[in-house]
Amino acid sequence: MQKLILSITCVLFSLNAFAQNFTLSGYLRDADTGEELLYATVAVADGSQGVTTNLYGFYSLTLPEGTYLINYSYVGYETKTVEINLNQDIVQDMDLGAASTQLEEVVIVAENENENVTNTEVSVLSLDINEIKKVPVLFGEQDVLKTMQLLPGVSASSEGSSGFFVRGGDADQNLILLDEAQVYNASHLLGFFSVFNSDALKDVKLYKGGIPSQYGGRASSVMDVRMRNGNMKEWGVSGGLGLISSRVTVEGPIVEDQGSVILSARRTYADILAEPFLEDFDDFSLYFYDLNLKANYKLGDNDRIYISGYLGRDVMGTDDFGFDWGNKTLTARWNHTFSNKLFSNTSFIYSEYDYGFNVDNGGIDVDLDAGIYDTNLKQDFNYYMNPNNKLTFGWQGIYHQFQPSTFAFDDELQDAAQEQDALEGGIYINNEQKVSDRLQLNYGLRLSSFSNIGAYTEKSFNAEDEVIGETSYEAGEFYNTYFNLEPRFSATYLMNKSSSVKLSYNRNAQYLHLLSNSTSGSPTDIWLPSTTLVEPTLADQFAIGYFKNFNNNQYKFSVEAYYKTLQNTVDYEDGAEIFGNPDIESELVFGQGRAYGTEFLVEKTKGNLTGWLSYTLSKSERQYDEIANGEWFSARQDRTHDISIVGIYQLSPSLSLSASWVYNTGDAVTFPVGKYNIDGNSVNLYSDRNADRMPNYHRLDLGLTWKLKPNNAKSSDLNFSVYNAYNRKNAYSITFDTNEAGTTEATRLALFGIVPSVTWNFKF
Amino acid sequence: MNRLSIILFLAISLLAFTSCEDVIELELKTTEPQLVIEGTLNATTQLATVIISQSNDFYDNTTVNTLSGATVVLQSETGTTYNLVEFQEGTYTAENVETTTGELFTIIVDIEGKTFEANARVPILTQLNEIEVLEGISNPFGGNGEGSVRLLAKWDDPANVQNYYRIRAYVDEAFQAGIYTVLSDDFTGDGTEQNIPIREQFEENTTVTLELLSTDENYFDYFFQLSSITGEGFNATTPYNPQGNFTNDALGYFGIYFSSSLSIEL
Repeated sequence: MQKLILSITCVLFSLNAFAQNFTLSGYLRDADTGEELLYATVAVADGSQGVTTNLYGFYSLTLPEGTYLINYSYVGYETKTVEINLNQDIVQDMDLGAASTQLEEVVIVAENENENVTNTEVSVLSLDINEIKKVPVLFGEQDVLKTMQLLPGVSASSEGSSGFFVRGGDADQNLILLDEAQVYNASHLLGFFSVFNSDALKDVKLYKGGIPSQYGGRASSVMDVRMRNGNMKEWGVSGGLGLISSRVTVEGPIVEDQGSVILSARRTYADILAEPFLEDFDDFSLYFYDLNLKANYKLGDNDRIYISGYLGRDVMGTDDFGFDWGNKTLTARWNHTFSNKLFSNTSFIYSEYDYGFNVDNGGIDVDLDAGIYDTNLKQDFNYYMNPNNKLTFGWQGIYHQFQPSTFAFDDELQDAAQEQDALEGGIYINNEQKVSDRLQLNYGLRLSSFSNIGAYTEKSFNAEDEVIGETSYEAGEFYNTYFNLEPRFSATYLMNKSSSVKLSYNRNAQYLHLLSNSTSGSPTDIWLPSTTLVEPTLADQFAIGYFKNFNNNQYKFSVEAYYKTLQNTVDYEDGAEIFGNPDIESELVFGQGRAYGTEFLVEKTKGNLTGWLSYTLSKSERQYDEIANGEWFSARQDRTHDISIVGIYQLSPSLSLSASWVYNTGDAVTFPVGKYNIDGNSVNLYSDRNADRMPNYHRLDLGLTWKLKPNNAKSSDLNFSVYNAYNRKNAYSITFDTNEAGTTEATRLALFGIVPSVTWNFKF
Repeated sequence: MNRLSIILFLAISLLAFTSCEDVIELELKTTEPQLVIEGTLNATTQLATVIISQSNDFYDNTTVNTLSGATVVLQSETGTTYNLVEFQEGTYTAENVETTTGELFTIIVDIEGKTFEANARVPILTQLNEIEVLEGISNPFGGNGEGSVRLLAKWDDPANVQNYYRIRAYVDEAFQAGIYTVLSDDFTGDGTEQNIPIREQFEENTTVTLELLSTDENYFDYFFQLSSITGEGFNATTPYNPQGNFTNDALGYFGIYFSSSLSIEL
């Protein structure tokens, strides 16, 4: 029977020039929770035609009239095959059940198992939120950002940190989006935790290159994080208890299959645990919390609204000193289906990052505050023109407000750097085109703009950083505008079903610059807009990749090479006065950068043992006329070799073991070449910028996950992990000082020895 | 800022309770010795001092690196010239240097066939008014919490002019080198009474002398740079050599200051 249908399909297909076209459209969802499935595949069984669902789970497939076997598939889910008689436009929503996790072999003929080979995405990393929970991490606190760092081309900014560098780019060149809202500081507690609570997340995608034209505003990468919608079927509670933090998630339907709501909360209690050790010191606080809230509701078949929000804050302080910082985001979205071929989303987004200090300075109350505030309106359209062309287009406008610093003594404003306002705009169009069965193209263009808006008094500076001129602009006056045309292109050539070659080029413009003088980054680092003086950073990246799957997609192999150039990078000049300086622009230098490298990744995706091996060989350099006599020097994150090995072994249905090992070349740093005396004290003499290397870094982490009730929907599990299992003393920093005996010595600071932890996770 | 970094750092250490510091053997590159000139004019004592030395290797703890045989001249813009005399090896001094606020001085050093010059203007005199023991501030991480004392220095900042300060501390007359409390009235409030907590902690049963230097801009710039590169751990900055005001790439600086001191018995 099946053969017959297949042959009928083939016959019909060959007749397609004469037949009328109809459209099959709808949503793909998880059968248990009603959550939409993103990037899931809907394809004709013979593989000739297919689409993936968009970011809201919507798909649209236009085919000639006929009867088809349609496969609905998604990684980790049972594939469903449905016979469709397409003699009119059909709306077909589909619920997929999660593939059972039993040990006996389950044959899942998932059409998109070789998705990595066939799609047009180059240099894109995706993480399965459920899979990362098995990877061992510091303090047992699961973190998408840290798991990303185990993949090629992505590296941690420092020990235990959730900050990251992508392909030799800087930490501020990553666009981090949470439900489309920009997150300006994705770190809690100096980076040991990220702001992303895995319980609230549905999907994470990191674009290292080949960035689609709907994204703009950063030079290196885009990390698109999507929050879960909440269970549409039934109410539930899940959460976890850890040694230093706990979290809880409540979710359920507002009206079954109509609307749902999810609330996730997390708080650390390091300070409560530390209390007994701090006898003299009662008012000590050190914690962070975050809240994720999302609700959605379907207003009929063609409309749906979503509201999602994030609130996170870090607080630390003593009785005479307080410091807090955090992000707030709010996203309101409206999905509208104009027709079965045209899908639209309209979003209103508010995003804020701010920090504040409070010091009791000998009876005087000193406050310092700073922040960045964004209001963003955007619209995106997906037009499924025909099976071979999928158009995406849209526009975006962001109103930025920057407050670099305000100082107040006893609530009386003493000094405030001027607020700066700016409008960042973008329009884009993109087409995903199937040229032939072997060749697929994805090309687009983004036109971005950035305008500085008054009221503002712009200063100009001489070589000695003194103010030599001032120009005043009125409120609402657009006094400086940049335009940039950003072409994006990628192509996939399928050599056969299991191997392909991919190419990509992208140009990205970045109009915001994060200035950091400390080597590790701090919550007080300042975001500055491009201005007349500070030109936008421009990145151009070429990448080429070869993808090959072996053994029925059991092993996936890829190798990618990239070359990236950066124009107008920004850094502080040596000896810059930063803290609370109202004329910060005078302390900046402008230069260029280049980065290139090769990335290898081998994944094993099936069987009891899964995991991956990643190796990156790369170089990243910068050049500033004012630094190192204008010579090219290594960027701090220039790590020649970077290796990660991750293994997860399913011992029994209830027990899984995991291990990860990382190795990388030490950061490029500046060590002294000598010393001299000033004011009765030894001062280190430095030579070339970043000409030395920190000792090489390596570490082994181990984990064990024990499911207490493996076959029960009301499950719980215990997660044990050991960070830095062989107690390697990795240098966080090396200081060169004179000891009490008057001799000079090098002192290494190692942050973490062996750190064991245990977390209990539950779901009711 | 440093206080913040200490709290952050120790808080995190507490969190991890496994961090450790140890001395390591690390091979370092070396370089040719470089000339260092440290020139000061204390307008209160009317003493000009110039110390000329050379840099040496980081691990070299033996070499005497002062330089003798230089010709050192101090010139005022009014035309007065003072010849500095080598008082001990590498240290050159001149006494009774007359100054008026705003007057420009140039120091000229001739050594090994090269000439190095730097300028500085005489700043405004400010007097230290009072030293106070800071009550109610405890530091849980200060080690010996018992018996440690923090001090507050008080003085009046002259209004409507840019003033720069540095505070030096002496415990039982021994100078506490390597700790830099460097300020400008941009951040402490122009024309206000200054209440500045001293960074280091002192112990009971000692005599502490605080010396307030009201300095010229060059002196402030140099020591501000010095103080900014001494951060460590979370507060570490990209290291560099502080830029002074001497020509011909000599390390060091030439600065002018008034000094006023007060002592307190703890």
